[in-house]
Amino acid sequence: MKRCIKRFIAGFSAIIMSVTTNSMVSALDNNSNMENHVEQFIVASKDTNSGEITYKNFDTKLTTNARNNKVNELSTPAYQGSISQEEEISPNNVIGNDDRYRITHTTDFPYRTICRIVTYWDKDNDGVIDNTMGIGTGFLEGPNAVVTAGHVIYDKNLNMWCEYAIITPAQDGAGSAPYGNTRSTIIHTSTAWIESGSADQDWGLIETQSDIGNQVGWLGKFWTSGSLDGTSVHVTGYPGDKPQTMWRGNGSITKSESARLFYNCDTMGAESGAPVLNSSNQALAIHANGGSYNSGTRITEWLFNFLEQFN
Amino acid sequence: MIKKIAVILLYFALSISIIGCQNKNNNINYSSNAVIIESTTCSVYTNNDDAESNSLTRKISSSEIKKIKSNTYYSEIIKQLGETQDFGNSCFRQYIVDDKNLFVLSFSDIQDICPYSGEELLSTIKPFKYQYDNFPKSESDDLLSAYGIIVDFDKYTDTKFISIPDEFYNGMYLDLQNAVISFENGNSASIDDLNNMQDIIIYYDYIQETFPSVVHCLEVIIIN
Repeated sequence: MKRCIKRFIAGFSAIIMSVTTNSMVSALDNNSNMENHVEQFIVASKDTNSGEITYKNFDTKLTTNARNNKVNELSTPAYQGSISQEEEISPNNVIGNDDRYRITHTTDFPYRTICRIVTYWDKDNDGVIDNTMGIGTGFLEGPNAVVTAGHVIYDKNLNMWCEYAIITPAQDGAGSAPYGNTRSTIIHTSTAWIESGSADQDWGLIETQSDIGNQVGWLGKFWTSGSLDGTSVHVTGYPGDKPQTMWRGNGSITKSESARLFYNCDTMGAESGAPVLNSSNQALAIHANGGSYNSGTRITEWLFNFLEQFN
Repeated sequence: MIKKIAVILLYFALSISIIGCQNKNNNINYSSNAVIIESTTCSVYTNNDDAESNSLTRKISSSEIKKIKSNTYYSEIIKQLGETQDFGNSCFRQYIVDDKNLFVLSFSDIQDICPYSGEELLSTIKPFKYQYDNFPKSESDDLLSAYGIIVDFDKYTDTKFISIPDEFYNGMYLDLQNAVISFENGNSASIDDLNNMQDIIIYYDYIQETFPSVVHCLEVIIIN
């Protein structure tokens, strides 16, 4: 009963917020040129210390200005952090026909920015953290911001947020934590993911207690309004079949949609949230799904600007 | 009038939300050392490093099951048979017996006593109808298929979990929200017709690649 009430309230609050936002969007539509129309997004956030959930319209001034100036490409470089760069890694652990290879020098850049994420849940709402963990991947996007897939932190089937997440950058084996681990403070995703499970909005962002990004650095990101077909990329994460070790799959973009990218890099369960990286260590997408073609949530103009706040 | 009702409802919802959050905060024990799993009801592990390191489903022989004595703790049985892959979300362990059968040890609490003897437990094993890649495939390039045995379900969401006899003897949760379910003879079926230890073929378009993974099913066929 308590759970039903909570769900009703959460749903009702989201509906009220959506109705309010839709009204605002309508007002904007009436007052602005359609060419410069910028879609409104609501970001849902959970404080993983207090449990408080809030909804906020994302400020789209940046996007509006970019449209006005006819910007069709956005880019930020990677930041290598305060650690001195070590030698480059060469692929040396190819296994059979599996195109993935293990990254053993996880403390080298950019690999040290890629984090293993363990999420904890209270599925039965009994007030005690379950003996349950979800595993995913994420990547540092700022001093204390880790990007991941929305479904890593919000389970659409359960309609439930995780209680909290523990993030470990550069893990290389059981118990390995070269830079320690840090805990989530606030987690974010889109209400579009929460309400409809839209794969186009399957992104998440975890704010962390420590500013570990200042030490290990963070990845750049890149958005273009054009196609990315044929771009060489790699997906590097912590696949569930190779527990607690980092693996990289190389490939290229096979299909570009406005909010999703498809690619032929090998991936496995637990790599959700891994960066889809170009050769400049810029994230083009967030890995989310496997299937006939693996796919990820594209870093769109809007998402780029949203993430930029944490950079 | 409508505006007033909306305002009252919003105030009501927000008030209850705040109360709910406060109540939850009082109950949940947020550990500062969060890698320690706080409830060990279903696990013999004390931290997730140990749990996840058992990444493969263990292969055993039927004679090993036969040796189990009745009234043994489930935790002891698992030690006796050997640690196997822990999918994390449910109170069960699975083993591959004699390379062709699935044995699922289910329990509500790992510290409970199992009343069954080895012979009785052995009678519950189920042969895989298909193994590895030897199962009916989708004719569509965009649709993937897999064979599996339902081994458990999430009691909170009714989500089914299947064991897949692939190279790793993996397991996945089924997302059935958009799935059409039917029997092998073509008769329509529903989620209620899906039961533990049934063989099923699933057709799906994508997998959410968390661990355990969640497979987005478009069609499920119950084959026995």
